[in-house]
Amino acid sequence: MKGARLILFTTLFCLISAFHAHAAETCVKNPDGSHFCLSQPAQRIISLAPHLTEMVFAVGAGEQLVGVVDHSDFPPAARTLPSLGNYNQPDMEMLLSLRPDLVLVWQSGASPAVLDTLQRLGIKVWVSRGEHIADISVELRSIGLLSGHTAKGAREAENFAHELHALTQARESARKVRGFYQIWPQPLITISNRHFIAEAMQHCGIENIVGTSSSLTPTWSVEAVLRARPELIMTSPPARDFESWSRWTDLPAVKNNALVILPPDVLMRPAPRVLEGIRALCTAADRVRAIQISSDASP
Amino acid sequence: MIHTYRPIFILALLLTASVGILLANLGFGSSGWVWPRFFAHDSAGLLEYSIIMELRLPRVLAAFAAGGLLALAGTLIQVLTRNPLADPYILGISGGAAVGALLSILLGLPLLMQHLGAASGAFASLLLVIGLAHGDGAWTRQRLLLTGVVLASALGAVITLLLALAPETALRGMLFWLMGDLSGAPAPWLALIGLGILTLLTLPWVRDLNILTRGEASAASLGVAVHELRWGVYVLAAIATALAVITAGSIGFVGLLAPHLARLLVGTDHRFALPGAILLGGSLVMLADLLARTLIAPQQLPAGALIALIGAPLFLALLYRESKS
Repeated sequence: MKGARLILFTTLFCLISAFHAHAAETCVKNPDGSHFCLSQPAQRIISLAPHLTEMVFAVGAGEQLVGVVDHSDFPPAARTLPSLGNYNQPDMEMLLSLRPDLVLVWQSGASPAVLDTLQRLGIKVWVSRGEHIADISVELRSIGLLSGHTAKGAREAENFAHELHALTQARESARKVRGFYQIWPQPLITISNRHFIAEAMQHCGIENIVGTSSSLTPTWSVEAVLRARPELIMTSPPARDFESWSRWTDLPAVKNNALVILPPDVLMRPAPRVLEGIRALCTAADRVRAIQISSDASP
Repeated sequence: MIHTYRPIFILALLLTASVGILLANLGFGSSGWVWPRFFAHDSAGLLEYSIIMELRLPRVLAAFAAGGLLALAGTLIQVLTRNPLADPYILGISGGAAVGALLSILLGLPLLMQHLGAASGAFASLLLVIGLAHGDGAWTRQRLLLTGVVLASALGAVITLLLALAPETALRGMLFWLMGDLSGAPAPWLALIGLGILTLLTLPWVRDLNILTRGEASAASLGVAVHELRWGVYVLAAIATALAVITAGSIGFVGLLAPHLARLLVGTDHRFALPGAILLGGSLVMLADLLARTLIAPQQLPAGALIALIGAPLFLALLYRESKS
């Protein structure tokens, strides 16, 4: 599927470059090495993922955004835009009637059927990888370029990288804190190291007790968590039955009073606001380190 | 004499196997076999103790109870409908429970409400089927079946709709519930005590059940109060199914498989087939849950998905042996 898409993109790219070899094109390079070009910066953009909506606004192209999907609630201005419904099954008729010249899609959130239809309709589709924290800077630049806000996009990308560095450089060398992140309580679903949130944890010097796993979000055993003795247990709202961990009174995380509910949404979306989530993560890790130091100091 | 000794021998064997699987469930966990160190008072010993007593024991008891209840309900329903393909879920009870449980997950209610949702869904559909199918005459059996089947498929549509509407994070919790999962089994005691009481209530009817398998007309002519028996059996089966589903989600296949396995092993006499089915059902679910917890530990699988994988080959092997002899 991915291969087919790649071939399609490359063919498309070759065709376009053959016809418009002399025209000034706006091109961005995708993480997989392929190029994506527009003959001119997009003026009517549709975003099919909340994090892409945030990025479009971040590079100053909010005015050019004509449609979004459900849960596109940031910045507040995004709420007034027409919603196409679920990101996985957007309303295609509405999408067409908005006459977009660029549709932004998230790789992990795009249904192949939707991508196929968009391609058939001849609509320009840019696919965001949005898998790693490092992607955020790259994609801010790309979205800036594609929307004609090149300078602002580059500036935002640099700001993001700079703030991330400032926030995390000290922590990456600090004592590692053993952490566990809960997505869902029953069955207990967590994240493995390849996950976006695990990356954020690493930036704060939190070691994921789950480690690497074949699945991005494995179903985990409570026993394994108890044995790994995490010092910090985290979740994000709705934090269903999160307090049930407190019955394991011997668990370091419970003793440390370190059952932390992180701010909503920001850690789930590969957009600049992830810094807020990382800040909360780092604060939680710092608190655990401080407790450890004070208990080491007392006899 | 051989004919009475053989089933008893097999029942004893099944009981031993059940106890063995139960002990294995207590011993094996996410980190392989660990000898229980109940008398070590260091923190590692205390951790072992609480893992076994607070995680594994309630879970294995819930697994046995759920399996036993479904096997009991399956046996009763198969006699009641005189249909070898019938399982406890054809009466729409699991569908009702699923709608209740998934709805409470979708609304983001706490875990307790999820169990209560399942319970109220199960009993609502139970009452609905009884209410709609209540009537008299030769029609009743078909009407009961049809009402249940239609209700079950309607509820199936509601379940699909709920899954389509669910947010990504809740989806896996919902799917695990639908496949049958014991990770959050509440209060195994409720299901265990329920299993005990329902078994005791069924035992006096066992001889009547044997006669009923030959047909209602001949049962009635042999002095069986067919009408009372039918409703009594239906209500017992329904309550057993509801208890099982509340405990472990809609674990499939065991309610169909365990009664047939028991009949193949100990014969069609329900004095033996019923306890046999209960032990087999309980063991199957315990075994499936053991594998679900340990196969790719510390990752977990839904126990329900493994039951058919264990049970189907076992059943086919027995069926094949039966046809040869």
